[in-house]
Amino acid sequence: MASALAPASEALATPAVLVAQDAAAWDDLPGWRALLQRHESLFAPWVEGGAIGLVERAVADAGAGRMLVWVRMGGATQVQWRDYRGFADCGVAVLFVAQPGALAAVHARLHDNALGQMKLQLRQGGMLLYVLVAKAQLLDEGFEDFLESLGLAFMGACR
Amino acid sequence: MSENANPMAAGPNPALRRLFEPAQWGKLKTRNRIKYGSCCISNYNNRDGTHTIREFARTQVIAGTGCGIITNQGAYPDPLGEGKGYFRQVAIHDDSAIPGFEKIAGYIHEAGAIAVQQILHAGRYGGIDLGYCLQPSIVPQTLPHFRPPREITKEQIKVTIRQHADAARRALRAGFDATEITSFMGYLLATFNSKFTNRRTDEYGGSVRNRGRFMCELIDAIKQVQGDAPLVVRLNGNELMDQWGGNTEDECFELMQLAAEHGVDMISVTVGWQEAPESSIGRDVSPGYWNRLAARAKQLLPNTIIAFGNRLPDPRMAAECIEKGEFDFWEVCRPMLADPELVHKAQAGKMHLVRRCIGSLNCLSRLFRDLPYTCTRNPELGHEYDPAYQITPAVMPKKIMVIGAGPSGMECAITAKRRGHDVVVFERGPAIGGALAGYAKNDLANSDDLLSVVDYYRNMAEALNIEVRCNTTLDLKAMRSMLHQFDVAVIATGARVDGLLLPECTQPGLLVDAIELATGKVEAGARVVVLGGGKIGLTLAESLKRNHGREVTIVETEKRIAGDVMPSFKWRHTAWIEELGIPTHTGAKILAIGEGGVKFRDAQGQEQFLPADTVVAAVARRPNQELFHELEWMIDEVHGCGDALVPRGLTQAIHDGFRLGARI
Repeated sequence: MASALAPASEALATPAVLVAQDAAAWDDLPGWRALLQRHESLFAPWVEGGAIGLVERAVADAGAGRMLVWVRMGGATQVQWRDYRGFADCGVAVLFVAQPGALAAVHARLHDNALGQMKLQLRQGGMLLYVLVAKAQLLDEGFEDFLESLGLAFMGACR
Repeated sequence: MSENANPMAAGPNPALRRLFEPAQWGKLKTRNRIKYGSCCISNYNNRDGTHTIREFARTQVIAGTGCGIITNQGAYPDPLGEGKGYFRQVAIHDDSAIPGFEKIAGYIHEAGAIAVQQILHAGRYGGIDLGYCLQPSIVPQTLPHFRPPREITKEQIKVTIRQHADAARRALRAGFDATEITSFMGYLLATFNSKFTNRRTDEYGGSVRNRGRFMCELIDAIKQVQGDAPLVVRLNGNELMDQWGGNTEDECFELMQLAAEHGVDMISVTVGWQEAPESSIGRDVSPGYWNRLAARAKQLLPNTIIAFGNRLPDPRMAAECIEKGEFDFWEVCRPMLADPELVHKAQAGKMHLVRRCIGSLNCLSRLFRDLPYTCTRNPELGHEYDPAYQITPAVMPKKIMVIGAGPSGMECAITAKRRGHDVVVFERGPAIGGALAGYAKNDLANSDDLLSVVDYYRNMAEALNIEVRCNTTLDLKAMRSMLHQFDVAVIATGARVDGLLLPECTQPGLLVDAIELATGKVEAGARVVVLGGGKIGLTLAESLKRNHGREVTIVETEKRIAGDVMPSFKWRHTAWIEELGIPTHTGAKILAIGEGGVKFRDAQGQEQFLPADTVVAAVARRPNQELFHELEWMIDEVHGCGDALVPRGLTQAIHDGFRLGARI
C-alpha cells in the first residue's frame, strides 16, 4: 500500500514514536482550530451545525470510540470530541477514516499545507472518506468548496 | 479516398496470427479471439430504458468492428431501476424490450459475430433515479455522486436473482447467443463478493464461499434458463480496495474458482473498483501492467476460457499474450471507441494508421455527468446517425488551404481530403503537431500516448497524400503570391498566452512563454515560477520538477488549480503536485515580474516575493485570429477551428476540425 506516513523524515521513526505522533495529532484541538481559522473561506459556507468527523481506522472497524469533529457553530468552525457509534446517526455529513499515521502526516503539515497533505492521504489510501448524506444535502449545506479542495469531484472517478 | 487504400501499408500481419485464428467457445465458433467488451454505457437511450435510433446506429458500427464476439452494453434487469446506474441506460426488465434487443442481435449476427448481452445491476452505483441504492450491507458511499445505501433483504435477493434469469431469457429470445453478468467495480455482484461492502452475518456474508453465494445462485439460475447457451462472468483479479477492507487478490481468485465450479463458460478478468485509490485504466498506467492477473487466472483455471483486456490497447501485445497462453480472448472496447476500424487495420498490417485510445477518459468523465459518452480521438462516436457527421463525397471538390498543422488543422485536412477536396497544409513550425507535440513531451502520465496523436496525423497525411508545407509562415505577402490559388482557407493557428493578463516584465529574458519552454526553444533556470495552474502550467511544472530537477512554484489566480483539466484526470495532477512537493499559491494576484522574481498578493492579501531565474507564462490563452481579418478579401471562404476560435483542449480541437472538414 502507498505509505500513509508521508514525511520521509519520519520513515525511520520507531513504532512507539509513530504512536505518540498519532496521539499528539488527534489530541491537538487548538492546532486543528487554528488550521480551520486559516482556511475560513472553505468552512464559512457550512450551515450552522454542519459537521464532518474524523476517526481512527480501529474505531471505524469497531464501530465505537471517539470521533474528532469539525463543526460550524456561531459563525466559526469549532473542533470537538464526540462519541462514535457507527455510521448510522453519527451526526456528520462526511466521515474521514484514517489509517495509523495518516492524521499525524497531516498534522505535521499543520502550519504549511495540511489540507494538501489530507488530499494526498485520500489519494494514497491513508485516509478514506464516507459520504453519509445525499449529494444534494452536501450541496445545500455548503460542503462543496471544502470537498472540492480535497480533490473530490462531485462525480464518479473511474480511473 | 479511404485510408484502407494506402499503398504503403503492409499485408496481413503474421505476428497477429493467434489473434485472428478461429476459436471454439462451447458449441459456438468464433472467427477470431477478439471480444468486444461492454466497457461503457453509451447513455444514448431514452430515460425509460428503451432504445433510440442513436443507439441502433452506434451498434451497427460496433457490429462492424470485426470482433469475433460482441458484448452489447449492460442492461438493467429490474423494473424499479434499483439496478440502473446510468442516466440513459437501457433496460431489459420487460418483454416489450425484446424487439429492440432483436435488432441489436441481428446487427451483430449479420456482421458474423457471436452476440452476448450483458445484464448489469449497478448495485452500489445504482438507483440513479431513486433516492437510494441496494447493497448487501450498509456501507456508505465514498464518492458523493452515488446514492445512499439500503441493505438488500433475503427476499429481495431471491427476486433479484429471478430478475436476472428473466433478463437472460429475454436476451436469448431476442436472438443473443450468450449472456454476461458483471462483478466489476462496485456493481451489485461485486458488492456481495467484496468484504468491503459485504458485512452480512447471514449465509450471504462472512467467508469467501458465503460472500460468493449470491454469485453462485445467480450463475445457477441463469444457466437453468439458458440451457447450453454460454454465460460469461466478469470478475476482478484485483479490486484495489484491499487496504480498506476489500478482498485480497487471493480472495479474488478464490471467487473465480467458485464461479468456475458453477460452470461459467468464460471469465472476463477485470481490475479495480470505481472508488479505488489507485488507477487501473488511465493514461498513467502502462499498457500491459495488469496482464499478470489474466495469466494467474489461466494458470488457476486452465479449462475455463479467460478473456482479458484492461489497459491492453495494442493487438500485438494481446496476440503475444494469447501465444504465451496467458488468456484466450482479447477483450477490448475503449480502443475501439477511438477507432472502430482497429481490428481491420491490425489485420491488414496498418497499425500506423490506427487512431489510438490515449486514455484521457473523456468517455467516463461524461458518463458521470449524465451525458452521452464521446471520445477525444473519434468525433463520430455517438453521431453515427447524424448526416452532419458523415464523410460524404464533396458535391464540388475545392482547393483548401489549412493554416496550422496542429490536431484541429490536421483533423480538418484529413476529413476534407477523404471527401475528395484538394488540401494543402501550411505550418509555421518545422513539423506536424502544433503545441501538442511540445506539451506531449512533458506529460508525466504517458507521453507516448499523446505523441501517438502526432504520429497518427503524420502517417495519415502521408497515406492520403496531403501536402504539408512546414516552416512556412502565411502572412499577407505570402498570401498575395498565392492569390486565387485556393477556394477555402481554414485558420487553425491555435492560441497563445495572453500577455495582457500579466504585468510588464522589467527584466529581459526572465519571462518566457510556456510553449517556448515546452518545445525546448528556451531552457529554464534553477528556480522557476510558473504563472498559471491550468493543464499547461501543471504539465510544465511537473516535468520541470521531476525530469529536470528544477525548483518550481506555481502561482494561480483562481481558487483552485487544474480548473481546465478533464474531471477524470484532475486528481492525477493534484496528486502529482503534492507528491512532487511543488508549492502552489492560489487566489493570487500577480503584481510585478522582474528584479529577480515575481511579486504577488496572496489569497490572504499579503504581498509575497518569489525569487526566480525563469518565470513561465502559462496563464489563459487568447486565439490567434489575425488571419481572419487579413484573408477576408483574399479568398472565397474563410473558416476557423480549434483553439483559433476559442482556446480549449485536445478534444474540442479534434472535434472542431472534423466537423469543419465534413461540411466544407
